[in-house]
Amino acid sequence: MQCGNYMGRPISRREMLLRCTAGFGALALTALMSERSYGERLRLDGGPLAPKPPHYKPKARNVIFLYMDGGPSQVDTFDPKPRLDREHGQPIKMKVPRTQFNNVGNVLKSPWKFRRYGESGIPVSDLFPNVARCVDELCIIRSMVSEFSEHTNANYFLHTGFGQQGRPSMGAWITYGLGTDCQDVPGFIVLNGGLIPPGGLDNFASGFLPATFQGSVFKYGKHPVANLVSPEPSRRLQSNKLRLMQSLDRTVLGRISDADAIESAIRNYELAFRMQTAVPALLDLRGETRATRKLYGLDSDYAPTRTYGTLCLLARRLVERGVRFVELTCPNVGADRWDQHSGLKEGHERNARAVDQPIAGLLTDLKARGLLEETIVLWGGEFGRTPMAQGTNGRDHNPFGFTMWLAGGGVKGGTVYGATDEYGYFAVENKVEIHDLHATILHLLGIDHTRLTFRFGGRDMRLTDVKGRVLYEILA
Amino acid sequence: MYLRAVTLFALAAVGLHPAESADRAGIAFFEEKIRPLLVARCVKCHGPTVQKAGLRLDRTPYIRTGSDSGPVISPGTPDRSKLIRAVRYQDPDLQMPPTGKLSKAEIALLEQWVRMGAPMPDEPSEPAASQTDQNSVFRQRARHWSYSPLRRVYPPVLDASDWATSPVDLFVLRRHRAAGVTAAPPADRATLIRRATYDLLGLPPSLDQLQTFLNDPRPDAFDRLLDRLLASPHYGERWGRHWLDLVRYAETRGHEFDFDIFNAWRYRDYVIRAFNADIPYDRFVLEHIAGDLLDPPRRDPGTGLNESIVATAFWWLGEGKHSPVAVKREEADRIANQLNVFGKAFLGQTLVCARCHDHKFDPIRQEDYYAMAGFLTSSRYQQAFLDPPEKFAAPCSHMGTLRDRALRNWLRHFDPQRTTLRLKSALLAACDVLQGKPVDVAAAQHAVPTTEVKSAVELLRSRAKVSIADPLAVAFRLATAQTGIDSVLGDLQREWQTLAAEAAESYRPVTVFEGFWSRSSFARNWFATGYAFGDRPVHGAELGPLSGEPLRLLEPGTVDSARLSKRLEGVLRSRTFPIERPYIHVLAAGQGGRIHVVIDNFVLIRNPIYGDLRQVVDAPELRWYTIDVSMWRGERAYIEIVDSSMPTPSHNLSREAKEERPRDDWIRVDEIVFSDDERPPTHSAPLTGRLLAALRDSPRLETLCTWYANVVVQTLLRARSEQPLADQEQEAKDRVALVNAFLHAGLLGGVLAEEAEPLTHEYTAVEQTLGAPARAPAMSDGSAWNEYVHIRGIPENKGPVVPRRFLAIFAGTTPIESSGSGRLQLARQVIDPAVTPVLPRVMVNRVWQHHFGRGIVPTPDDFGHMGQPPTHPDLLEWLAQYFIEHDWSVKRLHRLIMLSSTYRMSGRADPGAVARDPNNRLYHHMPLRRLEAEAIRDAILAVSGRLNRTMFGPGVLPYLTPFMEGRGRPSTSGPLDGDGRRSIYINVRRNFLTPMLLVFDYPVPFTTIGQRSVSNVPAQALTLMNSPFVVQQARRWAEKLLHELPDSDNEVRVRRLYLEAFSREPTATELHAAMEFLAAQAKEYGTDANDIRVWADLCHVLFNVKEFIFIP
Repeated sequence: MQCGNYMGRPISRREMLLRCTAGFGALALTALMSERSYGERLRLDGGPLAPKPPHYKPKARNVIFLYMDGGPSQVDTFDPKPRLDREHGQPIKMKVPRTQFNNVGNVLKSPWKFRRYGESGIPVSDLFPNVARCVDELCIIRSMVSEFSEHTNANYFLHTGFGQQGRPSMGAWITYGLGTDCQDVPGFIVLNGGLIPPGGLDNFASGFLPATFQGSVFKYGKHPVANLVSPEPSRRLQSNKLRLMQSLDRTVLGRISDADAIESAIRNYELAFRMQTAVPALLDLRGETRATRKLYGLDSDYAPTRTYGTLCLLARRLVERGVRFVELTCPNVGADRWDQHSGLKEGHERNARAVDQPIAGLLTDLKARGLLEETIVLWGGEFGRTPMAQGTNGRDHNPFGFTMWLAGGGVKGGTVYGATDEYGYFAVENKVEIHDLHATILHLLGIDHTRLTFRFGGRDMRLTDVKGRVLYEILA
Repeated sequence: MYLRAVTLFALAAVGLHPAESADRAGIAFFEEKIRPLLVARCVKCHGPTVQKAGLRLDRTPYIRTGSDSGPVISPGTPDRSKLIRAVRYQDPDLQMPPTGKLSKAEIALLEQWVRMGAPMPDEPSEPAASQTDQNSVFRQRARHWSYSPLRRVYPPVLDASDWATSPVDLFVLRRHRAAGVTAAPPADRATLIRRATYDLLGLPPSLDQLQTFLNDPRPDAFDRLLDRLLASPHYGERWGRHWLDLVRYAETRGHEFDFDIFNAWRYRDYVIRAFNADIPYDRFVLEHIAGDLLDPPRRDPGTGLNESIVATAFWWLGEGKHSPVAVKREEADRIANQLNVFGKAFLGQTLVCARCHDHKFDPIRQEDYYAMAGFLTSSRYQQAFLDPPEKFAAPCSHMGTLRDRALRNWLRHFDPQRTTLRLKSALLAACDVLQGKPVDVAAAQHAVPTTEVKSAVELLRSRAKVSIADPLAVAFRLATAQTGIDSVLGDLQREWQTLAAEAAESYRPVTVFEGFWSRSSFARNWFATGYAFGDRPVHGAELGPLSGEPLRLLEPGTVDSARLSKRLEGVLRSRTFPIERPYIHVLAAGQGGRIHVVIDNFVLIRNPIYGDLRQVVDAPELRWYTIDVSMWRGERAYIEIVDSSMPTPSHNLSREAKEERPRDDWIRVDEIVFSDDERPPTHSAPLTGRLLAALRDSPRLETLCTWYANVVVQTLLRARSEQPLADQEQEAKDRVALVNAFLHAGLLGGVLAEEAEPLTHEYTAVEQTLGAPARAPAMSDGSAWNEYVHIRGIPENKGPVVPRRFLAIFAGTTPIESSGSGRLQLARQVIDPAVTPVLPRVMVNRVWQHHFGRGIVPTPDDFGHMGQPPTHPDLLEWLAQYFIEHDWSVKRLHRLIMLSSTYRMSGRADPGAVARDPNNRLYHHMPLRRLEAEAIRDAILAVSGRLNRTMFGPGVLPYLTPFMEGRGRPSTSGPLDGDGRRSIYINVRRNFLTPMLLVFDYPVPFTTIGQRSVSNVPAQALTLMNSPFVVQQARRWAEKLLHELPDSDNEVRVRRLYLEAFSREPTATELHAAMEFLAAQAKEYGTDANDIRVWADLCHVLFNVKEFIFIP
């Protein structure tokens, strides 16, 4: 057993039996009486998800990762390149490495205009008119690089710091390191808008870390969590069951020496039981005002905007309650993810339209509630796109220079960091590796990325492998 | 420039002093301007502590040496200096410093310095770790316990003890006594049978088994229980699953589309059978490494299928990427995964650490890693044919005999004179017809049947628009010549000369890789699998299948998968070659056949990027297929000629399911050339040349027709006397083509058909027996190909080539000699405990671990320095010795361990022992263990009565929940209860693993997992509380109960449930609680206790009681 802490801190037999006596009955009662029981932050039992002290004073407490599946184009969003306009339709005048499809066309100018916004005057393309209004909150990194041109590897790399299946996701590492402030739901929640990225759920997995830290996928729709709905036609039927289970479990405890595991399992049922109430309450948006709903685009006539708006609103509700890491996947807009090998204009437009207003709403709402200061909002895909066309009207994958942005959580807003070359192809100034991004996010959360380790396969593994540099330059 | 050179020369000629002073100035420049710059901007990453890319810029000897890929300074020429190019940000992939460009002034200084000749002082490199130091470090590491030879140890002799019943106990007891701890009392029988049954079968004991054991008063009752359990076929399913964890078993390749690994389930079945049959572990390992090379292989006694070769599937169970931008890097990743699994599973070694550098802790050098990688670059993926020889070899030889007999009879019986006359006459008549004479007139005139004249006319007409490379085209042209034979002959002569010149020219940029002419070159160049192609090319006169329509001679100098029957399948793989020319041209014909170019063992050939490496051959006439490989110049490759119902690996399951049956596909390949020219070469036409020469001497239609008849007859006579059909290869092809043309036209066939006819029926009958071959993913040997060291793990940074060999720590550095991969030699070293003492240690530790929850070495996959040392080293050593001496029998090991008092202790620890040894390192009581995911699911099925005990075969599709989304999602879901099959038979789809199993720590199959984690997450509780599967099974269990005990009172029923679920009677309290619950639920439902819902609720609770999944 490499990690001693995930069977749960032992508690005394007496404490256990006491709790079992009151146990589920009492809990069920609480749950029934109070819709807001999830807010209680029950921390009776410690356990692996209990909040843990960071290495040093953190600037942020939570992360919301707006994952842009497929790889949005940097030169069409946040990294304007006039040279593309000048040389539109001509062969690109630089050495082009092998691309994913290797169907290299001519220079393709952006179909969207860029305008300057905010006090910072940072240019944003017309794809994001709403996010643009929040530009003074954003720290735009234009010099991201990845090591992979293929979706799956790049996804794993972005999420886990390693290009293959099997490593823990960023959210898993962070909950492993910090626990979570909300004990009614898991600490790492993935809000699935409809698209699971290539590589599947393993992008959110706990890898060699205990399963406790894996991302719990909440699906958009009526049944957000697997097996959350109890099969019993009435509450009493279920609470009878739980009461019997408890009394029978007690006899088991008397028969063996290694009680810790069983005690942990029993506690587990308590959390599960709480989740049955807490999650539906959490996802119930009826309490949100009309203005808030509008802010997030829930009244949009475009269904994907409503979907993503709901996810963004949920994300706020989750961090509000102390969930450590929330990741959002994109809604299905019927034109493929941000992966426009052809039909750039239509595809990017649909994808942008789905997320633009919800993201702006999220940033605005977080700020209004004072949550933005303690929440890192991260936006971006696994790579960017080529400045020259694939075929005639698409763009191929580009891991050599692309854009991501951060907001809130101790990041310097209204700034641009790093630069790509004149085509927007290769990062040339202040290159930022995925490992650097990870190191920086951990740093903001008060974690030294070199000290967040887990022994596996004879090595002390890290999210940042053997690399990673904190980007002090972008910290507020 | 010129002047400058002169000046330098002049200085040198005058003497050393001026140069010296120039040096001194240069060195001053270096010290004042350059060194501070390097220290400030470079040394952090290229200095004494970190040397990225192997480059150090802090001391001059290192600056001169450069990086892993060579010098970084070219004195005098900044443009050619890597250092300068890097700081200029000249190349996209090398830009230093990475965090931001230097100022223009700084760059200028560096440029100036290089232009000056990069002067710098000589200084000693500080006494860093020298080679000898390194060696002594490695010598030190090699003394680690797990590399040492097996020690001969004996169980300790202890004062009389009633407790010890097995030598195992003596080792344990010695430690107990030394630590002053007391062992827990023996477990009661009910606990014992439950523990043993779960341990060996992964299922709860049935009521019968329980009663038999509890009622067996004899002292050796447990002994006999073990006999029964070890003989159960479920044993292999339980222990096979443990093994599958070690080899990251999965049936799809993950990545973007989750393609199937076809027939991976055969490996799972192999493992189950191997454990059930107690195949000696050394043999099992041998088969895993080199089962494809064992002659004879081990065959399954039941089916005759090749077992040994299926073991090698384990190499191919990893992830696979369908369109890597860098194919060599993809191979490097694949090999890293293969060696990672190999190292951990068999050797408990973290080999893969040495991919980028010498291992940081263990005595494994980077050379070791690449010496091992060579075994894999010399091996290939295949879908191996498993059937016993009698299934295909016997019918093939039978068909071959019939076919050859028909040919021999024909050749013996045909009459040369008559044939010549008849053919000549038919052709002459045809010429007359082409010149306008009515058919019956011409027929009568030449005394040939009208039908034959018509056929001959048709034959010649069919050559109307054909190149004169076909000699029959000459006949058409001459017969229809309007201006007289002579003038046309001149044209033909010129045409032929152009043809010949073009042919000669077209071969100038070409290397002929294979013409399929000689048996010996075929043996050197090709690896054949399956039965379709036979073991050599077609040579001389060989008759095609008797079932074929029409009968034909096979074309000599080809490989032909329809040689005996289109139903047969097979694959030819070429030797390995480096890609040196940009085009590969393949002359082929076929239907649904495929040609693949496999580069760096990359088999998931597909668009984008790789689509053209797969050519579908779907035209019955020979034509050239061109493959552009210019993108991969310098890479290693081989060619596959495929006639197989297995799709290429980049397809999904539904396709496979459709295609697993014999199909009438075929492929014939005539020639393969490598070329600088995008256009394929053309062939010369020797036979046409001869014909034209004959006509030059005597330009008459008579000559023409006689010539054809003579060629045909001579060819058949040569075949009769088994002489080569022609002196020249191409001419032999042309001659056979001519014979076939006449055969098809029915101008020769009557006789052949007569000879063949009596044999055809028998032939067809045999052919009908040919079914679909059984196949499995497996290793196949390729050409020997040593791998080079990838400096810092980067394939583009080529270091020295390392000959193939096993790890030096075990087998020294002598390379393995083999023309193939050499895996068999490797395997023999791995299984020799004198060479590899760690092999038995690792395995006995695994067996121990699965009985006690923790290994004697608690890190089962790491026996290196970073692993934990054994808690009972002598015991481990003794078990290893016992294992070897008892024929590596795993079942003997179970018996030995399970019959010990140590195993039979209860879970109730002595409080004093707990105080002294809270972590139970000394085994003073039996630790509580939570069942694995599969055992939980299987136990639910067993208890509910739903368990379907069917073994083996393709897996059941996973039940798809709405949460299982993404590319590659199967189009249909499996049943909720998995058809009641044991969990090991659920299709393992990398990207769609079964959530219920994952929740209980089913490992993600990416590497060896010798020890699963035991986590505790709310999803586990939610699953058991609310999942439709558990609820469904609870109801089923209740139905079974009420069906079996329709009239019993409720107490009896509850007792029955307890026995089934927990192998014990309920206590009075438990019984009471259950009865109250039944009443409460009945009340809530407004019904009585005979209501199925009430019982289903009780059953559901019992699934949720912790005792159901925790085994004491």
